[in-house]
Amino acid sequence: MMIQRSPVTVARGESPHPTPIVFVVDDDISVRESLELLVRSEGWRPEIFSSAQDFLARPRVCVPHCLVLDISLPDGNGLELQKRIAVEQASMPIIFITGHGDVPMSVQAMKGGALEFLLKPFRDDALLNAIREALERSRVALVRESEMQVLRDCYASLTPREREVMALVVSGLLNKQVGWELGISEITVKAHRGNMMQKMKAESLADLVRMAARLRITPVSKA
Amino acid sequence: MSSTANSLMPAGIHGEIAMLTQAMSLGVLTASIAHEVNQPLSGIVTNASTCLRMLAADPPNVAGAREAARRAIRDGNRASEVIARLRALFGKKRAVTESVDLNEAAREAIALLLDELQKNRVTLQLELAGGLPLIRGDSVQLQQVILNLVRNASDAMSTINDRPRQLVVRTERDQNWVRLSVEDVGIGFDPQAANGLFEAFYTTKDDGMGIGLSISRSIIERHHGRLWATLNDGPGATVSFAIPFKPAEGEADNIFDIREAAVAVAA
Repeated sequence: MMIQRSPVTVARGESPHPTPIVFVVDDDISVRESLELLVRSEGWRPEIFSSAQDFLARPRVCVPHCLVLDISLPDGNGLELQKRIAVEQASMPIIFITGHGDVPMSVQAMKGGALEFLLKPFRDDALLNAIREALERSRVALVRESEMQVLRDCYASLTPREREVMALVVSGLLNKQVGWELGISEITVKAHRGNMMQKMKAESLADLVRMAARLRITPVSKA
Repeated sequence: MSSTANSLMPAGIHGEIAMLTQAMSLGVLTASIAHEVNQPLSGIVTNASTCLRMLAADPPNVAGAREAARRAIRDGNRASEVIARLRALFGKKRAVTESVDLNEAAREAIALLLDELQKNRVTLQLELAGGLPLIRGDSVQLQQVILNLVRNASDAMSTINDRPRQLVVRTERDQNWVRLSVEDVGIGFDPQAANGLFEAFYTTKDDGMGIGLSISRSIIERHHGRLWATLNDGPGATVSFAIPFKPAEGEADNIFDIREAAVAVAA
């Protein structure tokens, strides 16, 4: 089953502090439903699933979120799910819970980027602290993601010529050199450059260089 | 058993029982039962914590706390359902009293472990006495004991690298007893702890529950036999059991049910 990939953006007009979602995947009803109440008591929104399949079918969300995952699931183990999520939803922080104190498994989980590994039955504080940290990470990742989206939108609004000018400018070329490279006059370069800086909302050359780096625009090496 | 109870039963349990009859190791069985009970226990702990949290809130969330308490009770009932159902299922099949050829029982049990022994680089030597008298007992239970002893012996050699990991399983007749011993060249045991070896929850393994030998001894005792361990003159230890092959009339019906013991320990 493939997940529909959709760009994650914090939609304008939504509340600035949307309720974070805590996903719980555990095949045991006692564990699942007890976590549901605990999560709700902290003011977060719980969403509980009894299998990896059900969880993977859930569309992606654009509010801070994290996953509390049982390491042994009937339809494949939690570590496999972790690997899939690392590919499909890399920003999803994962907290593992397990009934077995299996050291090799916990090492593997932590190496795979898990935030925490808790043995059942666990202390509520331990889990809540881990969730808090996970949600904070998710929030930061979402902010970064939405900034990136703004940046991508700006870049997408540039004309092909403006993009060429941008690439050469961030490579350190002077207007005169840019003009030479593109076979246009310095005056025309200045006009393109002004439009480009405005569209990118760049306040300085340094600012533009930072943006180019985030957009992974490779500087053109001087001929 | 009501349908509600059925749906509350973890699906894994039936599979576990099927595996038990195929001479599953005691350690694995008990660990898996413990896991099934641990799940609802985990639910109880979380629900009770949530209940306290909701009552401590300002203003207290009484409705939420009530729901958490209700779920804690449900989980408690689930835990006891797991136990009750195990008892009911195991209870149906009483321990069998039959004629058992200890050599055959040993061969069958060891056949299940050959892969594991090979993986652990253990060389197995079988020294089975010919013409061994039959004993009265439950062959599945006795195989459980043999499996347990052989696996213990293999585990005791897992860190040994300076000598071949040699394991000897020997059967012999000793007057009115038949004896089976499992000899390894492993880490042995602390002579001071010799009495504690057979106590429940005594273990030298990082991942062991320490109940294999204690249940094994119970099984052997219900067969009117004895189970003991000695340190070898060389490295390692030998664990043996002996069972009389002419038990007193009328006593053989009361063979201890290993499955009850496993449930009792998990409870």
